[in-house]
Amino acid sequence: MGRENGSVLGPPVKILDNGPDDRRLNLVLLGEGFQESEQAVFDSKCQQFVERLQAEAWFEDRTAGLDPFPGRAINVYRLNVASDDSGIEDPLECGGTGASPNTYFDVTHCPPGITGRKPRRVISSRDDFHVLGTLNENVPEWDSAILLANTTELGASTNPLVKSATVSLHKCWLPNIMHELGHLLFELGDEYEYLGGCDTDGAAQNMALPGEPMYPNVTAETDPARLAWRDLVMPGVAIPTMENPDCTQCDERPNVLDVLDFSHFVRAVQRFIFELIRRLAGIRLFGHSPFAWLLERCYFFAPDPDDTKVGLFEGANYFKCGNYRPAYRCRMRDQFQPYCPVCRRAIVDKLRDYLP
Amino acid sequence: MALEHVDFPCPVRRFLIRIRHERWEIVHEQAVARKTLPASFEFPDAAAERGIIGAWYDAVDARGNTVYRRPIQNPMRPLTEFVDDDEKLSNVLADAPEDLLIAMIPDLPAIEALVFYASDREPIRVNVDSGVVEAKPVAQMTISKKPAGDDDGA
Repeated sequence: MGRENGSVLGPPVKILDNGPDDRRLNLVLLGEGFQESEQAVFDSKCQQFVERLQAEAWFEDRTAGLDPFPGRAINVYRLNVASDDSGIEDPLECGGTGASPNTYFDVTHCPPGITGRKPRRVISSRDDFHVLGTLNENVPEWDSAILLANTTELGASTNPLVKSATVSLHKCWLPNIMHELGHLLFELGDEYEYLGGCDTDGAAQNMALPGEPMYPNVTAETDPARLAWRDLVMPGVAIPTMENPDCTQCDERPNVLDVLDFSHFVRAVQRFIFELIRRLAGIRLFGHSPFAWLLERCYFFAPDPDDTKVGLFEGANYFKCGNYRPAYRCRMRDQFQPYCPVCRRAIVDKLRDYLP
Repeated sequence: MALEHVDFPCPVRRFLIRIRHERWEIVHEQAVARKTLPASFEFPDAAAERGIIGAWYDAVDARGNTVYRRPIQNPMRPLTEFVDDDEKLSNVLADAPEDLLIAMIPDLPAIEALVFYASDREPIRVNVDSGVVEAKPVAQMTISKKPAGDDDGA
């Protein structure tokens, strides 16, 4: 299976054109497991992605000092690729359906080399050379790429070493991609404090080593006078803002910067409605789940503005202690949140290189 | 002393490097006629006292001076990020027999080698002001003066 099981359909299509490729950050969307007759679906997903990108708060931030705004530094290409069959491989031996379609990039659940927890949730190509060769040939100025895999089964993987990610069209695919762009385009670090999970990590993830991480949004520095984002900390906010009292556990205490206001009421109502939906969807009548469709869309709670207030919060970069993040929540910690001000500034700084 | 300033767009070289059993090898190279790359990476001030944890590559001249620097994910500890059943982000360590990585550098006549540094155990000592690295690299590769061409698959 692989390169003989499909073909690239025509030249790449520039679906977000912000200028010449030699002066822009070029992101390429590739289709995997879409037959020729399904290209309209792929086109539509690419368009949804561009609209989501343009809706980002940083994209059209005209106060960022970039002319005219940061998003103008990014071009997006769509490369239509037809596979012989629809979908992606989902091997039985890791709990999959046994589907084994012939697809152009040979994307599969449980790819080789992935043997940890939940390998089925990891999807990637068996042939990175083929993916990279296709990119080099069709968009020589490419910077990063995302393979959109034609399945609604949850699956994703990101490999910043080869500047690419693979994402299924699961109901929450857009928030997932927006987090991965933080790695691929903007070189941000992860702000969560576990590697595999809070309950499954070993002692190695308890305490970070003493060196400074290379990410603009993670630090080991606790001196307020030397903190890289000290200018973004509001007066009165303590540094460190929260420290983990037990480095063997993820710190799940509430945000100390939380102020009870109307937005809390809104989120409480959202939680009530979501719980109602979850219970309705679980009802079975005569062997059927008549409300299962309610869970077919992506639900997430409205962000709490207090959660992106800048301070210094312990727990980041896969370590429960010793590394700090700028905000209680941020997209680099939880993909359903917006970027915090420190990440937004890092994004703008990165895009500055493309908008002289 | 800051690193040499590079004016973009300019010709760029994209290297595909394979790491197999700690053996590093350039397996493909592509010449891009003109492209803009991010500005050369500068070490954060906080690294002055405690050193750096992470990985990066330097494009260096014949005297070993760094001309261009980019941070990368640590190739000695390749993580794959995915989304778990509960919609939480998670990671697995890949244990594939080989790894690939891409390095892109400006195509400047002075550049003679790619040098890779990586650590997730002992901080790497660096001079934040001069950009000088006080550690042994994990890999060093001399690069050809002319791109090798696109004839080996990628």
